[in-house]
Amino acid sequence: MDPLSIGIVGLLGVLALLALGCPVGLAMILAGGFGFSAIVGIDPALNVLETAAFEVSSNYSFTLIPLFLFMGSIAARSGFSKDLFDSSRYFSRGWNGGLALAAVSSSAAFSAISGSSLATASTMTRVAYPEMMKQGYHPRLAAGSLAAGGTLGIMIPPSVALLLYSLITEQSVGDMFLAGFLPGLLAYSLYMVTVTIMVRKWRPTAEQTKTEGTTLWVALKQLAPVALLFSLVMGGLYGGLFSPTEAAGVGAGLALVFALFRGLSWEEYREAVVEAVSVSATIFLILIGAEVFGFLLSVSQISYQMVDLIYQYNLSPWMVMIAIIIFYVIMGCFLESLAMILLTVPIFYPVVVASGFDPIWFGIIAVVTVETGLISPPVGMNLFVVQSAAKGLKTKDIMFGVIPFVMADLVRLAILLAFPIISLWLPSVFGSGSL
Amino acid sequence: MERLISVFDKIAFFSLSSMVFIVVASVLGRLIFDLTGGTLSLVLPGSIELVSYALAIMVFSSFPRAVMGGMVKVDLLVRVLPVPVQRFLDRLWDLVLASFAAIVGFLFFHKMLTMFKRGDVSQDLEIPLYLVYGVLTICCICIVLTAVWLAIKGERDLTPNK
Repeated sequence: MDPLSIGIVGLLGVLALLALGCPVGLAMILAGGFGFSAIVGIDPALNVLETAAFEVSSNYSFTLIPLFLFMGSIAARSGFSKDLFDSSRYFSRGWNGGLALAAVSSSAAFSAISGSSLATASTMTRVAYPEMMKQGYHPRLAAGSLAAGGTLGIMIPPSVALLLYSLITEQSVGDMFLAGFLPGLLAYSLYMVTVTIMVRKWRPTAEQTKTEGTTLWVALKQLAPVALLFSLVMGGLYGGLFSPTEAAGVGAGLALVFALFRGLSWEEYREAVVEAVSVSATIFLILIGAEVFGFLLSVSQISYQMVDLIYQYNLSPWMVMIAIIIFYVIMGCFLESLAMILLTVPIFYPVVVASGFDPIWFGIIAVVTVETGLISPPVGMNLFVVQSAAKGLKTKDIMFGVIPFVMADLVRLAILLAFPIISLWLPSVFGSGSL
Repeated sequence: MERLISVFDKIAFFSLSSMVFIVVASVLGRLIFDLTGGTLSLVLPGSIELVSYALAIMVFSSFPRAVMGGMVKVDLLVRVLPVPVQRFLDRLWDLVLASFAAIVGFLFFHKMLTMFKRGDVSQDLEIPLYLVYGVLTICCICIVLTAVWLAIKGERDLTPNK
């Protein structure tokens, strides 16, 4: 068999292994390892395996993954989420559906220090869902706003998904974070509009329009630690004080200091560390898999053959882009978001760049599409996370509740496709420049 | 098995905590150096190297816990299969994971011997590299044991370490 055929078999092999429930990282290692050894021999393949396992796990640039995850784990255990929710409630008081608006706002703020959609959805649901039920919110409105609000974590910096994209495509982490900022705000705005429309159909039956005991001063004080943490991490990063890894380390250290002042116990600290390292390990297995699989893609030259096909059949770049997006939307319903980015970006990235698209813009489009998959029924990960964190929530309610938010996401995707400047303006002004 | 894994949890815990400490100390050291115009140097030497090796040890020592909790996978299609088939597949992937860890552990062990014979040390702090590979080899053995144990036991304990 020629290298290209082996590469195609390897690609199909990954999909078959995934369908059989093989862990994503392991599937990529198996297909990549066997495919690579079939092309270049067993000894180089073993060498690749050893090198990938060591080089990936000791890569200094990847240090920011566990550090940002640790920052999020600490933030989830130190009461930031409740303060953010209370503060957002104060600012959205008097509005119809104020609690749902507060849920989306506090999710956006929490994601600015968490970096993970699943952590944001889980933490905010525990805080906001019981209160929303108490005030007569329809479960569909409550669950939909919390599941969708959680997805903001994947776009608002520091986002683990944007981080992984920048690491595997060797784009500037700072530029990627800047590029995600406006699309994140756009998502937030569209979600707020969606909530406002949904409230007309599912009006809360016992909504309180006053927030007792909370004044503007209290609300600002509740917001302050998160605002300070975000400003220091991002300010330090863009002000040239820290490298991305240092920003993650300083963020984790500061989150820990804030948490200690707020009474974080030893047990909670230990839990936060164990959670951060366990999630990191699952991500690193996928990263090792992506590295091994990357060798197969490289020697089989699949991506370059795809580029050749595009030139040969004179396909327009936009046709290619739309095909990729359709693939992402469909696969996003089945595959975990980070796994999908690590599996597909090495294949599509050379094609996208050869088609003349901006790599940073494509990163945003890919992550936005993956983000939509997080709440796409029936298998969006955030739906399960919200359901497990909200007692008594029926599957039917959450499935119907997220549909308006999925539509909002599709509107945002169309806007971002039509106006790349939304993603590229901030990097061009404050970053290393991509325009 | 839980006791064995909790030992590796502690190693991962120590590695991550040290990474946070080293990065923060390194930034503070540099800031002080800059602010004092270079008169007071508290810059940590070899911090990048230390953090890199701590990361490798953290990743491999936290694999057993991650394996216990379940790795990221697509179970949508598998869920419709009969329960005995699902269990068979789970056990199969556990054994495949054990084999992968065994191969990587074997490769790390050989690398450790090579490093020991050659006396290879790291660039900045001159840490003997066989030590790093040695720790990683031990972690791989624990991953193998955990995955084989899961394959034999046939069910996962999803509760986090208490």
